[in-house]
Amino acid sequence: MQNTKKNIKKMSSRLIQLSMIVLALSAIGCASDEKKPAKAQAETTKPVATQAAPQVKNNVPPPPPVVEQYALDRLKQMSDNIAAAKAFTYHATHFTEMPAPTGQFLTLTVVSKVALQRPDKLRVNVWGDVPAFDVYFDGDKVSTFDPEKKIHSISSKSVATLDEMLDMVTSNPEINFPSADFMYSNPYAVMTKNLTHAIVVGDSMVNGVPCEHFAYMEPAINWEIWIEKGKNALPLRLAMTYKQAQNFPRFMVEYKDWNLNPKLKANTFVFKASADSKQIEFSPHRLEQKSK
Amino acid sequence: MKNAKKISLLLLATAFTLQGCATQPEKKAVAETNQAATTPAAKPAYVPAPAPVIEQYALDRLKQMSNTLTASQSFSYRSESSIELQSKTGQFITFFTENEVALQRPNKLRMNLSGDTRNLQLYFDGSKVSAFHEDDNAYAVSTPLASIDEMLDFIMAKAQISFPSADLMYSDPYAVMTKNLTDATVIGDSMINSVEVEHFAYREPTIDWEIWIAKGEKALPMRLAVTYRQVERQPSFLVEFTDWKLNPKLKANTFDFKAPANATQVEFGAYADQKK
Repeated sequence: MQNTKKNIKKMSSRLIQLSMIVLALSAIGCASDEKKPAKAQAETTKPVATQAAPQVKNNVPPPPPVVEQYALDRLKQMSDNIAAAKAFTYHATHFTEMPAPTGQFLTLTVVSKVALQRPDKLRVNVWGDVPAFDVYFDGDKVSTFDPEKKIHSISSKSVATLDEMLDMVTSNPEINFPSADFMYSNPYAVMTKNLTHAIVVGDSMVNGVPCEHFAYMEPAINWEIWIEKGKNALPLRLAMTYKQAQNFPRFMVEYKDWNLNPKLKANTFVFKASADSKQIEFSPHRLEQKSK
Repeated sequence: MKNAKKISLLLLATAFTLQGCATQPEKKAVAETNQAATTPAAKPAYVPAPAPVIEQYALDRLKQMSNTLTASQSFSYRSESSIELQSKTGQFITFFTENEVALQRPNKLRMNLSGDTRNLQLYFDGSKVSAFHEDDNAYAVSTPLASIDEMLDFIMAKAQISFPSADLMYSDPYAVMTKNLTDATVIGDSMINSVEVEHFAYREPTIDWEIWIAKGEKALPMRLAVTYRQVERQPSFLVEFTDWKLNPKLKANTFDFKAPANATQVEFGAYADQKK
């Protein structure tokens, strides 16, 4: 039992890079398996109960792009809300899928705590079914810390802003960090850059909070967001499917405890290595390998 | 839900349609033992499917869970499920539903489904099963059914209502859940809503599934995840269980359905057509 768990942790730690939060990484690379979009979509809009075994038709042309303005408007409102906050904190629970040696995709649960202060400070603590991991951006250097193995790294060059830091992290195709979108100075610009579709799904609830549910498509990703109703338009849930990756790995995050006016201690973003922690070379791309 | 028409009436039945779409050859398992992440542009290597793995502990705990449920004369729980349904744009959309379940062996069951889909109440009073859609003020009543097992078969096959946790309601969950297993593996320890659990993964020819079982003797299921492997885009659903009560005190009328005076009676099978 314990052994298996360790194996999983080891396995996952190879896939988990710097700010990690997720995998699907390997999958992202395997883009040779792209499927025709919208296959059989015509059928499935019919009541399910009336057709036990619909035939999938090939060569159905993809439907024309649909962009519903309200789905963009609310995203914009959410973005403005977050961008206007000088600082914010939240907790997130992530469900992620990663391939096991049997080929099966496993669902792992990862929890994170985020504190951000514009324009250049970030702290992320990650734990759960993967090795615990901390990231600190103190306005100058980015530090990462593995509290279990007691190893840390500090970037050698200075990083000017959050945007620059996030670019550095997310430019690596191996790193998948969906919540990064909320951390940019202009989330809306980042989130709508490659959109082909934007639709309003309808009203829903996330953990008892009334919200609106929207769905978007990009060439490589389908994603959905659940935004709190009213003026307090904050993201409560985000779901993504990687269309071009084998087995269509998915990712879902739920956000709670949003605070757009937190009182943050001055040392929140400062990493102080403990005496028994070993420093390794900083690399956002190969942190785990280097630590081996 | 504004776009409820995208979701079919008795919905949750998606699993059924989707299973019909299995035109895609079964995918070979991609053993990601070597790190695909190091070669971002590499094509997926088609390695031969790995040999079946059956870890006895993954079966033992499932059996233990099953025994706990079957030993209970009655039980109740709540669940929250996410399912994926395809929209008009082709995108799979994630919907969440809640379910309140009360079961009394051998022949009584009550469910209240609500959430992103239209509300549905199901009553099995020991003789007939009734389904009631409050929003439409419409209901259907079955012919007599002898047991919960028979009732579940009827509901899923004839009425095509599928609910992901049905396996837990059968008289022998273990038999139902292990019938087609090819792999059973122990993943490890985890936590769900502050409860310590063990996480297991299983494979069958058409589905992959995972279960999270509470540690200790009671071994109650806390989460279930299922992926339809042979279906394009591999839709999946996830159910989380809370408020488990074994042998709860249930009111006598919990399982009795009384149709409101102005409600319309419809056929189980014909219901979807009519509502369209």
